[in-house]
Amino acid sequence: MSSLYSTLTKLLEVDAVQPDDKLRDFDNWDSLTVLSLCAHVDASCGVSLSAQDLQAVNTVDDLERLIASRKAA
Amino acid sequence: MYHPFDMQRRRILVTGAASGIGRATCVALSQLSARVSAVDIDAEGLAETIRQLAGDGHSQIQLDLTQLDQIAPAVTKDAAANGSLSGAVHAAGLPCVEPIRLLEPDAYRRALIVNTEAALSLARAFQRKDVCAPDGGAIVFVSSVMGLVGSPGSAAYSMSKAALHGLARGLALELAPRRIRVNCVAPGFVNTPMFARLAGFWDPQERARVEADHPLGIGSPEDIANAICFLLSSAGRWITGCILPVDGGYTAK
Ligand SMILES: NC(=O)c1ccc[n+]([C@@H]2O[C@H](COP(=O)([O-])OP(=O)(O)OC[C@H]3O[C@@H](n4cnc5c(N)ncnc54)[C@H](O)[C@@H]3O)[C@@H](O)[C@H]2O)c1
Repeated sequence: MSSLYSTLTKLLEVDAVQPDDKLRDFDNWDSLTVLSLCAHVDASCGVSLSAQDLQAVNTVDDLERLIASRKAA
Repeated sequence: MYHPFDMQRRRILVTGAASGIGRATCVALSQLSARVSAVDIDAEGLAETIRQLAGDGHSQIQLDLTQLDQIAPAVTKDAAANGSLSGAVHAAGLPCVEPIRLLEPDAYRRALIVNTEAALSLARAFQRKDVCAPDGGAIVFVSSVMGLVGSPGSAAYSMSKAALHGLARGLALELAPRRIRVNCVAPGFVNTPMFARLAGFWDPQERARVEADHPLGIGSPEDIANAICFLLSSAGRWITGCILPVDGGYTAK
């Protein structure tokens, strides 16, 4: 999961992200960011999320849990 | 009976042959009686492609195209064992959809090597006198509409594909005296495993937008394969240095 945090810091251009940060609060949170994040999650975790899945996600922690639950499924 | 698309007695090497457009190209060529040398990193996919081919005399070469120095030895070896080549198709490729803030060299280098540099190495190998048939031949690079136009996140991929257009034009002029033609086919979105992976990330609105961008709808791998066969065949014998969009109208707008 640390790769998720490092991807998010680069994508969102911030020094660090915290589990309870809200994704939509970041300036960089746009459709291209969402697409790129989906591609990274697919490549690093083998989990295919869609932009729609991410719409339902609120915080970084929610995202981490969604990936874990998809992985387990 | 003469048929301008007939590929009898021609051997064509195809990269990216284990999937999508490369596989469809191998199948179409075999149906036109060509013999195919199928190249890919994916051995299982290659074996499945070979199973789908009409006729016999085909060969398969498992090769990681990022190993640029291994391309010429592999191509030369195949030509020595199975006969000289009348054509080469570079359909192997990798997507790269990233905002510029993520485009560190490591993020796009693999796509640039497979999409672009491997095409140059392939052309170098193909034009060798111990590889290319004495009466010449044809090379087709599969680029993309993203080499002609852009879209947010396409910068690195567009760069890798637009470079193929320059490569094709330069080589077309340099190799014309040897009757070797060099062209590009620039596909719009085509329903392949690469496309399916990308489309899986889209929401329904994005999907609808991409479909609407193609007045004739999303393409099939066969649509691209047919255009490639045309450029390789005698029907395309006066065509060189050309970038042919095969895109359902994507770039007409
Ligand atoms: N599908 C589309 O919508 C679309 C649109 C425009 C252009 N293209 C281009 O068409 C070409 C074929 O794409 P596709 O959709 O069939 O993709 P695909 O992913 O289905 O097939 C690509 C093939 O390239 C092979 N490959 C990748 N890296 C390799 C390496 N290092 N060594 C050897 N083989 C390697 C893969 O194993 C795979 O078999 C690509 O160049 C792609 O950029 C595709």
